[in-house]
Amino acid sequence: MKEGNAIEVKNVKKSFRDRSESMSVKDVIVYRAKRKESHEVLHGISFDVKKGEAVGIIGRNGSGKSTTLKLLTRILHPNEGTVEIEGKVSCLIELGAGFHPDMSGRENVYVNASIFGLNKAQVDERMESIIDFSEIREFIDQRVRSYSSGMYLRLAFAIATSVDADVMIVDEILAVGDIGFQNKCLNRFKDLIKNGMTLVFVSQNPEQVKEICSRAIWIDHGNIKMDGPAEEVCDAYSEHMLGPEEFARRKAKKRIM
Amino acid sequence: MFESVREVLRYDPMIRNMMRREIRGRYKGSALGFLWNFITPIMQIVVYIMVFSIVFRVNIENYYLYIITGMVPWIFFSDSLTSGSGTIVENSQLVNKIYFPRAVLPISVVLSKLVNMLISLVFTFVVIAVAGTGISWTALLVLIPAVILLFFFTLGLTLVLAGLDPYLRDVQYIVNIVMMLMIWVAPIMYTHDQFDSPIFNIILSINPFTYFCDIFHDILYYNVIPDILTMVVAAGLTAAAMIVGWWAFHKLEHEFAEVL
Repeated sequence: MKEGNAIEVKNVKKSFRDRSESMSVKDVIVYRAKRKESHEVLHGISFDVKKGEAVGIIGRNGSGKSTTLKLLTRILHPNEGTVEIEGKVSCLIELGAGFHPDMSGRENVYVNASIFGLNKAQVDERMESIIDFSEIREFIDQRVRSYSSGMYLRLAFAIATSVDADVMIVDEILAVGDIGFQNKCLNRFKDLIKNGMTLVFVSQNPEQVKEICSRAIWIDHGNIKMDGPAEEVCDAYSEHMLGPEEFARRKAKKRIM
Repeated sequence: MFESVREVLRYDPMIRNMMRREIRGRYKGSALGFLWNFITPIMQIVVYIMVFSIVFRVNIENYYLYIITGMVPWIFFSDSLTSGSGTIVENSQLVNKIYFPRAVLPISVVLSKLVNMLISLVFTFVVIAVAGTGISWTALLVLIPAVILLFFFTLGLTLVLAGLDPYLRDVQYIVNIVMMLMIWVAPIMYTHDQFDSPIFNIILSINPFTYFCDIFHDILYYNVIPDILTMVVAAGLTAAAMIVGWWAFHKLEHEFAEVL
């Protein structure tokens, strides 16, 4: 890996086998023969991310953003090409992944943080700040089953940003938080980036990307369509998605505001 | 291979939490909670003792002790395989969303069953003390390597099954049936010399659990040091299970997130 890089993605291709439901015995037997029936989701994408850089990934639904993210977190493995990441990775891919509904919020903090590699003493140290940040102190000893999706997000976000990660990978999950908490999250990201953390941030909201990322990558139909300063890429994306008239109208409206 | 072992060891806080979740979480909400880990196997053992000593009038000295010392390792073995083989699918929500070495899940299950077995062994010593059959301290020294061998043998098999299960969900049900049959072709309810059918003896010697069962009987029931050949076979089976298990799991784990 090149000096100063946190992430290197080289010519990555990823395809999924078409599969409905789980396999039956017949499928398993015919499985090898049918192996070619798959569709490619990523057609060979490459990009580097420098240490301390904040990169937004944008693109329409089904363009391959989430697949890219799962490749970065090593949940999926590429069919071709390589993905390299240096340092400790933390991720927020989906709400409350790994929360046990019948255990309390506090117990879940221990379990969840241990998945990111923290031991009990390290969690003890951070417990107060996690509870403070999530603002759900009254509910922390209740079963997670009774939490609202916003509370899930608060707790999950507080944990994932407290594990001293070098690289953080975030999927579009902030949407369920209220506007105040969203803002708090964005500020938290800014602080962490200032302290040298690398961030890869997927969002459907180009304004959010512009606010915290210096650079953006636009993925379209499994290829990188544009890679450059966040402002330019996000505007190009918005214009493409909304059409030039609507985009101009919104831009003008914002200028007035 | 060594790198993957080292990585799993780095995740020991997660293993600990998953073990706790397995031991305590499983029976959460029930009044007796954690005790259910022991009530079910104790009842199972009691039923076998009653059926065989009262109905079938098996003529083995201190028969209840014979059954207990065979059932304790058996319950560890079969519980680990039945719970462990489904653990990846059960935790698909985790596997799909967070990276961690996937082997953590089956390892945590087998370790939690090991904790149960160690507690059961303490019970067993109490029964031995009450029965007054005595214990050979030199034989007892072999119990530690015996437990270690059984642990890794079971872990190796669990890794293979847990790795296959996401691709073929039938694995869990097959394991249940195999366990149901396997208990009857191991010297748990009867002794080797009870039947002198050569075919039956071959079947017994094909069942890998027979060797582990013999070792536990020798140490805890016959109060003798297990014979060296049995120990060597058990060690060979353990090494084979671990090498195949680790290798197979490593191969299979790559596509877990795609099939779950």
